[in-house]
Amino acid sequence: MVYFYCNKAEENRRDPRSILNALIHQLAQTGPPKRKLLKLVVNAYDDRLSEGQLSAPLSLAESERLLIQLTDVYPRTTICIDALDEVEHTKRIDLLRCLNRVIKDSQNLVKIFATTRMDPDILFQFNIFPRIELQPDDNFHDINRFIQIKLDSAITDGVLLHGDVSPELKVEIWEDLCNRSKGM
Amino acid sequence: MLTEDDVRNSLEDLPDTLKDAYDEIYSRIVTQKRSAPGIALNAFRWIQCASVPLRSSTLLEAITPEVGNRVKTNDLLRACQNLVILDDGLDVFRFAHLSVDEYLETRLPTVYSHAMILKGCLEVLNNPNSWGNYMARPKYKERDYYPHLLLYSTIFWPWHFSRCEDPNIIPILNDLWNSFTSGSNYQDWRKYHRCTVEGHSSAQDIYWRRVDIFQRQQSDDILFSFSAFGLNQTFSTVLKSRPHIEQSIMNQLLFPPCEFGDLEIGKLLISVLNRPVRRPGTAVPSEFLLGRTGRRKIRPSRHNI
Repeated sequence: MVYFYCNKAEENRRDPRSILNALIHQLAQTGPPKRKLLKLVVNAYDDRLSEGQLSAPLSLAESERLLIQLTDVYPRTTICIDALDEVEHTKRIDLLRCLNRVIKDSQNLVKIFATTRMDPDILFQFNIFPRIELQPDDNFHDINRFIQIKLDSAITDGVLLHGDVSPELKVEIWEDLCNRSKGM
Repeated sequence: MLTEDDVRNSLEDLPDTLKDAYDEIYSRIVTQKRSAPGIALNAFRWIQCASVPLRSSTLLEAITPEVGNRVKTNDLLRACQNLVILDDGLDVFRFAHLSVDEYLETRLPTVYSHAMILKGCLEVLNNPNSWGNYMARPKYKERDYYPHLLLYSTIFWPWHFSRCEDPNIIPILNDLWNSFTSGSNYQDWRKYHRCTVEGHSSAQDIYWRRVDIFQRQQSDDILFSFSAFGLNQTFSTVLKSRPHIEQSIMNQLLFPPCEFGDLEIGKLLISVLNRPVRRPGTAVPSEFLLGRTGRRKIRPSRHNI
């Protein structure tokens, strides 16, 4: 299993090439006790060395090819990507297409588990794959519990009405906030 | 809120949508007393538009440059009214959620944010006391983390400049810009840049390839930095003010626009090259200088002629 957390604030974590390279990096290592690089990657390195191309970063197409070859080594690969929607908007389509081709072209099973908001281009690329959509109601219980904790601490810390809140008012506040949070 | 009725009234007025909620928080932020609104907006701009995330202490330094007035972490968090949080693990301030970033884009135009950050960078670079304070070894490269403020300003002022080269915005920076480009500040910056920063000719990010080209240029003429960093308008203004430019310098100036496809600079240089030549034998045909890729990018297309 390999993973990546995208982050809009960091260049390295919003750029498709960095993301693919990080995935390759994880797949390229054999397990403990002796951590070695898979022969496939060493060969790719040697090829570039003989072409005098060593210093240039892998292009998207090269990364994609290597990723497909690497997934063929393992009987099953799971790629987890958190916050796909934080990848740079203009380049996102490249990453989505790449991942899509990896799923299709790998000879073995590749599963991609990604979290994202419902942006149209992402939906389109992964249209044929199953989706679990979260609606505001789905995290209703989490939000309610969060409101309960925050309300309790506001009362204990004396921030709300100097801590002098009747049980009725407390329930009223909690119910009102829960009803109107709507997944926010 | 003092009474139970106050609480009930505000429950009735709860915002219906996320945008309404952010609107309410935003107006609360800008109507705070004294320096708090300025601190919050300044922090938003840095978090929104900095090229790399800054360590929390560096961000505090960036938004309140005067040491005596420096805000503390908690003051900043309070001023930002929970829209910003401190990530303890990474030691950076970040927005509480991506939706905050997106909301603030509607409130704080990014071009203006870049200008404000550029202003901060130039203030640091114009301060003669800056240069003695820091050592940077090994050199800062693409993908390194947490530059201190002088290093950040040194590396990224052109990056911000290229994102706010707008005739309506540049005048705000006039005094700082003049002070940076005249006198020794520019040369001090250039020297420090060479000692502390390292570009790479095959860096992933084009900006770091520009850094590489900038560092390879031998001449200390300021035109080279404008050409290397693709600062179109500034380049054009300065070039027009020069009556004559040596051919050898011209060749060097042409390299970055060919490499990065900066059309405006390229076309401008070619038009200068095509001016009637006073001394015979010094003209270099533009075809020869540009190479095939550059020619394609820079020559006006047939349809435009």
